[in-house]
Amino acid sequence: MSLVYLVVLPLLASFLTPLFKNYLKYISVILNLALLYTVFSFYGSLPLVENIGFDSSLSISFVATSGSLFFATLFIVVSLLFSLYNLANQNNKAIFIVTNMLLASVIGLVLSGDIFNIYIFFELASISAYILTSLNKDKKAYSAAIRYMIIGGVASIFLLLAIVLIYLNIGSLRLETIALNFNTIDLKIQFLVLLSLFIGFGIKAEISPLNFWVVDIYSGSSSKAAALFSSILSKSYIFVFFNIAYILNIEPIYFNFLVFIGVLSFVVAEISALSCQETKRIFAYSTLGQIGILFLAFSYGDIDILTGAIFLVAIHSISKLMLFLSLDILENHFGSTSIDIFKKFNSLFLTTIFAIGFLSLLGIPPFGGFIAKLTILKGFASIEQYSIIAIILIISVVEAVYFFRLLGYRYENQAKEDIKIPLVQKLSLGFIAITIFYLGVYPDWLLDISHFVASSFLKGVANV
Amino acid sequence: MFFDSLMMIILAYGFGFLYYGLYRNISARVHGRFGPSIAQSFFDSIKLFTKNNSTTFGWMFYAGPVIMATGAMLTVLFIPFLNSSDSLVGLSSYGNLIVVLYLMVLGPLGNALGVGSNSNPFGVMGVTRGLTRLIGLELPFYIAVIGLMVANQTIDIGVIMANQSDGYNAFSHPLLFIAAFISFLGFMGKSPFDVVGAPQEVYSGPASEFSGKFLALALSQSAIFSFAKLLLMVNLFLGGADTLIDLVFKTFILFIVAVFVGDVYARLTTIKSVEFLVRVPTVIGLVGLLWV
Amino acid sequence: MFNFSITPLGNLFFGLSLIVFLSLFVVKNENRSPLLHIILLSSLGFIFYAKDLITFFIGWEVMGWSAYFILALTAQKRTLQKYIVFNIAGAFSLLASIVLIYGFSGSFLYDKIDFASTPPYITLAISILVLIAVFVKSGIVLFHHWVVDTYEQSNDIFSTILSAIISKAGIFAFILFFSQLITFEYLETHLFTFVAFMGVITSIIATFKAIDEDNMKRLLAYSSIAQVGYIITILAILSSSAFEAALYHTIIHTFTKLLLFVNIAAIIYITGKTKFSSLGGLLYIYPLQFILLVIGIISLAGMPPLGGFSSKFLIYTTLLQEQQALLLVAVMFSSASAFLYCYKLVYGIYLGQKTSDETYKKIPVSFYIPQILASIILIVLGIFPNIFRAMFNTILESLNLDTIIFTDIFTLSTSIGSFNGLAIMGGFAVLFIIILAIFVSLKNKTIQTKDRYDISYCGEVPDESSNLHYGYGMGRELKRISFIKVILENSSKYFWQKVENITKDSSSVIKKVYSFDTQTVVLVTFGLFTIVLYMGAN
Repeated sequence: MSLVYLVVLPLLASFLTPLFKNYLKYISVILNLALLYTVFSFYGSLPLVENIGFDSSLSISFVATSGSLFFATLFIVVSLLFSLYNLANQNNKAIFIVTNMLLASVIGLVLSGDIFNIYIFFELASISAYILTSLNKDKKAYSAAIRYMIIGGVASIFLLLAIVLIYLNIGSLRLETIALNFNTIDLKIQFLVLLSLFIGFGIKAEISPLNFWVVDIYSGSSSKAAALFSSILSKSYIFVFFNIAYILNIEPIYFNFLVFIGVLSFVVAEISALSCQETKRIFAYSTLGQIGILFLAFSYGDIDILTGAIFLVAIHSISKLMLFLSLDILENHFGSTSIDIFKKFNSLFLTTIFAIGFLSLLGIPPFGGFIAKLTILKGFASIEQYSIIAIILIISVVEAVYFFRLLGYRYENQAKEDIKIPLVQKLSLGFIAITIFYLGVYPDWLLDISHFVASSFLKGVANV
Repeated sequence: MFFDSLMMIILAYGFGFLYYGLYRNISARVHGRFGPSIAQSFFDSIKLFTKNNSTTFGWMFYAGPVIMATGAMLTVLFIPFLNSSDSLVGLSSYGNLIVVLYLMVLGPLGNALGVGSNSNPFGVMGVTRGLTRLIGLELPFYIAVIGLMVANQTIDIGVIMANQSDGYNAFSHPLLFIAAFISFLGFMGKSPFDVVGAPQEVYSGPASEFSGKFLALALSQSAIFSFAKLLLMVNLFLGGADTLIDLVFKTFILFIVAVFVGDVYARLTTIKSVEFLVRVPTVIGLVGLLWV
Repeated sequence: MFNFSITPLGNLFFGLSLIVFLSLFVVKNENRSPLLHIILLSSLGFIFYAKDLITFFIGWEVMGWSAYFILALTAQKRTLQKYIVFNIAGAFSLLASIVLIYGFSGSFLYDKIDFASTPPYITLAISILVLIAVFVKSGIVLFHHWVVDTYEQSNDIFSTILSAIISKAGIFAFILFFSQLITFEYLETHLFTFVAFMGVITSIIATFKAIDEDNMKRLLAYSSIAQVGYIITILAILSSSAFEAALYHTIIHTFTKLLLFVNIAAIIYITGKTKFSSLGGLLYIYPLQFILLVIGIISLAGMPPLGGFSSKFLIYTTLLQEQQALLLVAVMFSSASAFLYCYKLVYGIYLGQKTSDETYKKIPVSFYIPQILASIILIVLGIFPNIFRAMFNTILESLNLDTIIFTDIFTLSTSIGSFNGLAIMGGFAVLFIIILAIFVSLKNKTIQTKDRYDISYCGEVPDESSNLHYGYGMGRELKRISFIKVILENSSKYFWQKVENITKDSSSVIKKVYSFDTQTVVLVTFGLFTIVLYMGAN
């Protein structure tokens, strides 16, 4: 089994779409299960390096560290859940193609071992994202997609600039070579490279001050697209960015800068969410806030905080998936996603799902989000960063205000319509909810995995 | 113990009415009249026991005055009459000053319930006035009492009495005494704080529907209760009494001083009385308290 | 993952909760939601029996949100928001303190937490954070904004649970943190003097606001805040007799509020009315209810011969022992002022004139069960006030505090004085019966009232149109007294609304950051790049 299969299989499936027009959704599920099986088979033999091609300095290399495999597994699981959810819908060619392309590119991103490979998958992911945005085929979707393209193009420019500079100065594209030789480059070039990398990845990873585009794009796309962006896409860029950062072993001052960016992102996003009137935008702001916390946590380099951050990545992905998919149900029923729809629907199942999702995101026991937040805060307390703890908790109260406002609408006395939800969708959403609850009560297995991943992150170059 | 308690109640009843009789006489002489006989109050209350009632309003109306009387008598039983003596102590060894302070409210509560059960709203207006005035009255009084409790580190009335063997509390804690005395005027139903039962202000006040035996019981318990309050003040501030004659003497002096002060001042409305009580005597009391 | 241990303190609190829940279970209730109530009860078990701080915190949060969902069935949206925001803020404050404790002790287990090596400013910070959580749950002033509306708009039975149990969770947290985890020698005494005064100020303000209320449930809500204020005040004294007084008052308050809330729940169930202005004169229709309410009132006011006096007695004697004269004056003042709202409660519903001629059905028997249970307990505590001494000594021992000497179960004694409950109750009973016997045997003729308008009414005769029940409005005139006017006209509402408005405005302003259009975004990005590059190059 080669790592390449993980990337090739979904791509192949999307190209062979015309052959199985009528079975697409089932193929989706089977494909994801197969990928899951494949990924599990690599667990015993870490770290894994594969080179494809002839000469080692010009070949494409795939590297599987525990971190990359963790993220790859996470993405496949999310994709599996998504495809299970989609079983209730029609066979949709566009969604099938684009989701698989997205999955392939994202897995490729996290598994890449050389920087140009990263760029290739970066572009592939971006294209899939643009198409995904426009799938709704209305005016808002198209304008959002074009906007995304332009901004994504800017990101690509900066990434390409960084790659070119690195190649010119070091002469190799492989990550471990770059890491070993990075400090030999002129300081000013180093700074330029890092800045370009930051802007390039930062735009895509949705971090302040580069995330102006996010909210409009999310609100312009369909909820399904937003689900995928929020749970898969942004996480992958965060992983790649920090992977490179830890491998290159950059100066602590840059990490401090990233901490500041993380805090800024979190605070600004959560406060802005308060005055929003449209649910998709609220969820988008919430995603931005959580990404801020992730940036914050990843930048500290402390093993406990990092463990919590990785746990948070897992929990947040599946929570946001669940929330956006529930929103999708509402969107299909009502046709819009403004806050008012919360006043109009009457479904105990959906209310429970939303409640579990919100409580988990806020970090309230007994759900998984609490464990994540607790681990991160514990880590901060051990290194005596009290102001960060204060900021996180105070802004969490602001989060609580707008989430519970949404929940409170549900209890207003108005004429309510019942919503019929297909069984398969109930099962998939329910499964995610139960998982979140389970992770809140028995988190140890995931905590151990996160710890392992965190320690591999910190080892940096030694991994490869 | 029962004989003891019975004697206490009878003495309280007797002295209460006696003082009122004496007061009516003295006050009349001051006004240039002769006044009724000293035993007139006795005759009044006993007469009422035999008169017909004009209305009743059910069992709560019955129970109201009974609870009032119970409260008054129970209060008397918990205050020792004499200083360091084995007679006339009643139940006081089983209680203390805080118990007495709260028992003093039990009677008025019964009154309030009984009055409220009739259909006359004027009755409850009187009760409300009483409760509002209570807010003002108890502030200086409690400050004074607390001052004494802190100074003596005890809540036992007997101990506070005994500790005054080398000087009355009225002189060793003068500010507390003044504050307590001003409240005491109100407790006794004297001007300037007597708006509660003021007959000329609103038609009758709390006792507006009482008649016959109800009114009789109310008057009787009022006499007993007044004596209880006098007794408390004497025990706390004037050193208690060693013999019965001593007791009569001290309580009568206190009573007369109180009524004379009352006769001089005009009546304040409820609100003004509360405001006055919360300002002047409270501040006096607080200063006295800090001094303790 | 979770650690539990059965402690005497936990037994007391959980036992109280269990008794309340079970006795309320039998009462007729439309909004049953059994699942949520079970979750609530379990979360209380987590709080009271936890052995480490995480279990405790999980219970605390689950209690918060399960109460939210029970509330959501009957409350308005604004009240729900207020409830959850305040409670989550309190809970996160608690989380901050827990995490800080972890930072210094390295563990969450109660046994392993040691404050000996913690710098005092950290202990102070932890104390303040815990106190914020306690204040929010108990409804101390400034943080009580959510309490009254929540009690008013929740289901009547749930109001009972809120008042009787959930407010006690804050008390439990106080005792846990400030006697078991952080022992007295590390605590900052000035902070606790401040806490004691906050408690008394809460009681005074809440008492006067209660007197001013026309709605039954709001009056009882303010009364709950006032009573819990007493408990916080006495707890802030931080001595073993103070803890005993607090525990005693907790027990008394739980049963008193159980009695009172179920009583008015019955009235609301039958008449559908919640305001005094539309009730009145129900005394002879529901005599048993009336007697039960009077028992509740006597307990609430803390009067002998019932149990309420014992806890007040302990509070007063503790304050005397600690020479806290000013606090004692304030507590006695607010206790005496409480008589007014106690009387208002009983007058407004049962006494006075009936305001309408409706005939009402009988009250279902199930409403009487919790009330009779509570009354029996209160009467028993009046006769045997020392009955809990052994249990309290066990609890005090488990908290490593000094125990108090036990005499007999009739006498409640402290180092400064004692009283005998049997004597008071016995004296009262004997005198009452004798006087009643004499009184009834006096055979005076009575002309019976046939018409409720046949009263002495200033020479007039009232008729159908005159409202004779205006005594319910007692307390309105208090507004003319200056210091009470100050209390009644101000409200923490204004402060919190300002906070809310500032946050909302800043949100709209900050959001504008996100509304740039594409060209601007690209321009800004390149601009930032250039600037930072220039700065970095130098």
